[in-house]
Amino acid sequence: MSTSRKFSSSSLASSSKAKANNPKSKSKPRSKPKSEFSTPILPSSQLPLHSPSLLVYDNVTYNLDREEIDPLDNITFQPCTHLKKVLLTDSKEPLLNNYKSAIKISLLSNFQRLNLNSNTITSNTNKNKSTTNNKSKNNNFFLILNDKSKILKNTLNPSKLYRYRSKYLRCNDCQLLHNHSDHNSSNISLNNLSFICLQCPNVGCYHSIPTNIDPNPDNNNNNNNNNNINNNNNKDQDNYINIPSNDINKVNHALSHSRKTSHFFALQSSNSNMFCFGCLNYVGHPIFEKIRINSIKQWGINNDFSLNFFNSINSNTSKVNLISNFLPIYPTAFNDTSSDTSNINDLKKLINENSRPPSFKASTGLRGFINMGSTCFISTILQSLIHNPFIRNYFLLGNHQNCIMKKKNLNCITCSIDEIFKNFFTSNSTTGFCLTNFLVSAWNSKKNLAGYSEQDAHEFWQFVVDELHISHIKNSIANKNILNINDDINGSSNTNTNTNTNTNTNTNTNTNTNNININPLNCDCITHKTFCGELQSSITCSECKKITYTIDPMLDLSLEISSKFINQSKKQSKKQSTNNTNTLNITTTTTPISTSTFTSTFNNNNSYSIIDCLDLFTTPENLDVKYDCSYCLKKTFASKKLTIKKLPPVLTLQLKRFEHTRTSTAKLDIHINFPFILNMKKYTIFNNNCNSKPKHDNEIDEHFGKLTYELFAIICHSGSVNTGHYIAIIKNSNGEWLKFDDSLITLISQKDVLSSNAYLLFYIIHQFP
Amino acid sequence: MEQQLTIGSLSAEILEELLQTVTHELTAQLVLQEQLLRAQYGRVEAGGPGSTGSTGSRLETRIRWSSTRGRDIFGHEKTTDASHFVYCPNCGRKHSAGRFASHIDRCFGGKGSRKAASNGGSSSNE
Repeated sequence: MSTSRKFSSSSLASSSKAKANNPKSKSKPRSKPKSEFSTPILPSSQLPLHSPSLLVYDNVTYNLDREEIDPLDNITFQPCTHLKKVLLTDSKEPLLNNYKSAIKISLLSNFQRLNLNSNTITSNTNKNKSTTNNKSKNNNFFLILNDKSKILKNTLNPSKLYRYRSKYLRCNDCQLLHNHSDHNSSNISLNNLSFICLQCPNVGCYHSIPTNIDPNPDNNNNNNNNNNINNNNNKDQDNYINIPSNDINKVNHALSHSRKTSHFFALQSSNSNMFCFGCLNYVGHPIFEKIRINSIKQWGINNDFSLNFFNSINSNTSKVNLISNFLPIYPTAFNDTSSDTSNINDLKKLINENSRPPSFKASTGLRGFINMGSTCFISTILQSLIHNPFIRNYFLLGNHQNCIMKKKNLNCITCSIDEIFKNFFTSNSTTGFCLTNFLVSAWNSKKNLAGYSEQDAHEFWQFVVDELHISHIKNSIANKNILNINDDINGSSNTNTNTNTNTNTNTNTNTNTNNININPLNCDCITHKTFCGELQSSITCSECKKITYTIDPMLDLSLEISSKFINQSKKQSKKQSTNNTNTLNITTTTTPISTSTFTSTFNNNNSYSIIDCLDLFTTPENLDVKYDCSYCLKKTFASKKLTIKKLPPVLTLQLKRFEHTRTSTAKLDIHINFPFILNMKKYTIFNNNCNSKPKHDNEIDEHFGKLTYELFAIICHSGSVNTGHYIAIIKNSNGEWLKFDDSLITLISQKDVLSSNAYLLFYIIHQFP
Repeated sequence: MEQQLTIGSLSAEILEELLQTVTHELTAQLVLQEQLLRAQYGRVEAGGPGSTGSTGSRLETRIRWSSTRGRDIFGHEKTTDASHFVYCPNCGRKHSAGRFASHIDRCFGGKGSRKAASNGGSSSNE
């Protein structure tokens, strides 16, 4: 076929970027007759019989006849008709190989996010036989990739990479224009907008231009009928005519190149997405996705978020971070090379025949809880867990399926939570859920938290997450030691266990004979992986100025409200009640004024926010009692300062909304502002010149992305200390806020969210590192 | 027609390219999500209060939530807790949902009322 010569790898390997201006290589495509893409596509019955519709690549078989890609195969863009046609022809091999190379280039060109470790890179390059053309034994040489530039070995230096990137990964046509024009051209092509052509060594820029094109991706995907394909091609032809080609030739060189050469596919270097210029849309395919995943993994980038996050934030690791502007990898059994490929089709068949996906409504997991007494504190905390991505994924992935307590018919609160998840995410029912099993299990553990009387939501939250931890420990003990758990063990947190004999054999537990004591910093349970952080308390001796550091684990932060502000707001509310002015109309956000509690209306002069509470939390305070300094060995005054050493993925904040007077405890209903996005950097040890200095400049920036949190749930209380009502306000994945009031779920505006009085706030990491 | 290269035009171009990078990234992710959802569930359709409980095919599609006052997102009105009934796993009798918590306390506890504990000392087996 005429097209196969165009894609021959030899011509590509020989022309490096520096030779891109070589008219010979450029004119090659032009001198060829039109490629098969621009001619009418043969109906499938006339395709040569030897090109099968089954594609085998890397030992996995894909059926190309199917119109839609099975969601089990990959989670990426849908393939377009152009892509499907190419995969049926002989030109698929070069295309796939070029894609492989282009992915590697794209990975390297995003090197700022790579935490380059020479050990991982050298060991991985030995696997990439296709990339090593020109081995050198000199350890100072740098590794760059094939067919667009030279290949060398060993350590990667960011500055060299940067130089190569700016040299090679720029638009060819912009360079031409620049070289050939006398006056200054303001065409700038940053490499972020480079489209690497997958069929020739061209790199093009893609500046946006106003177009009249509106290709409908649904049409492209769902037809194999050649009439429709012809129509689509004609439609594209018509639309091509609409754009004045002068504009394209100046600005959007990737598009003009594709039109000139009929090279349809290109890879966007900044986010490794494949683009089809015929459809003007991102496209994908399981085969390509598999290559992409393999390449990313080969370069040592680990997609295991939890593992990566906890390792890298301690800055002692050489693990590489996932490049965040790339599409996330969704490894399934079918694109994971480590899984046994021979079973894939059997697995697919099993899944397709015996299961069905839940309805869309069920997949949102939205359902209310019926109030069964005074259970609003239970229902709000449970809602915040149900819509917490980490907890939700933990349960939906079936991590609590084989609970040992259930097998022995013993009480397990985690099992009843698992049942709630199962129900919420698969059932189509929209009426409230009755918490029968949960209340019974809770009653068996801690009677006063079983919904009979009103309790504090934060206390209940601590109880539930502790239960998750305990059941994890029990199950991991049962799995590691083949030991019969004594039936005396129940779900209560102060368990006196009878597993004295085998407690010392646990590898990651620090046990004593009375209680199972696990070091929370190493614990593998979902509670600690999600919520546990580290607090560093530094005590400075006033005499010798030496600082003692202690590190404690923390599951949440309890923030006090400064007494100055409390008094200020009390005066304000008193003033208001005496002045009898109606300030509700004037201020932008207000809180309802209640006679029994202290309230304040929000106005710009007197706003108090979570930031202020956090500042108060981390300011040094002078200790009342004298402190035994271990350096100067005297009893001295000291000051103590709390900073955060390690931040958890989900940060829980509790506002201490109670004020203890000599006679009673009063609730503070003051409105406290909270931001939707919270940057925790200044409360961490990196911002305070404590013991840790960053090892290199990248380290702070590395951590920077991990220090921004976004609010996803708040729990509000209305009422007094003794009685009241809780509601939860939670954000869904579309960014819409929902109010959960027992069994009633309503949409709520952002303004209303910001104006509510939060008691518990849940912030989740904004960006996966 | 070439633009004059000034600092202003240069910075505007740089800003535009930076923004384009961000938009590309966001667009790609959103397009992917929407494609996957559509492949599974179809497009978003308008659904009022009446459409939630209808035929099976309707449940498979994505329905917009209702945001009328007084009704929840599914279009239901607020129901009183008294209208729900549950069966107690211990005694097997039917109870009003709103009183279930207190029933558990009596049914499982075996006494008239439990020990009053205001701030949760943990209570082991009574």
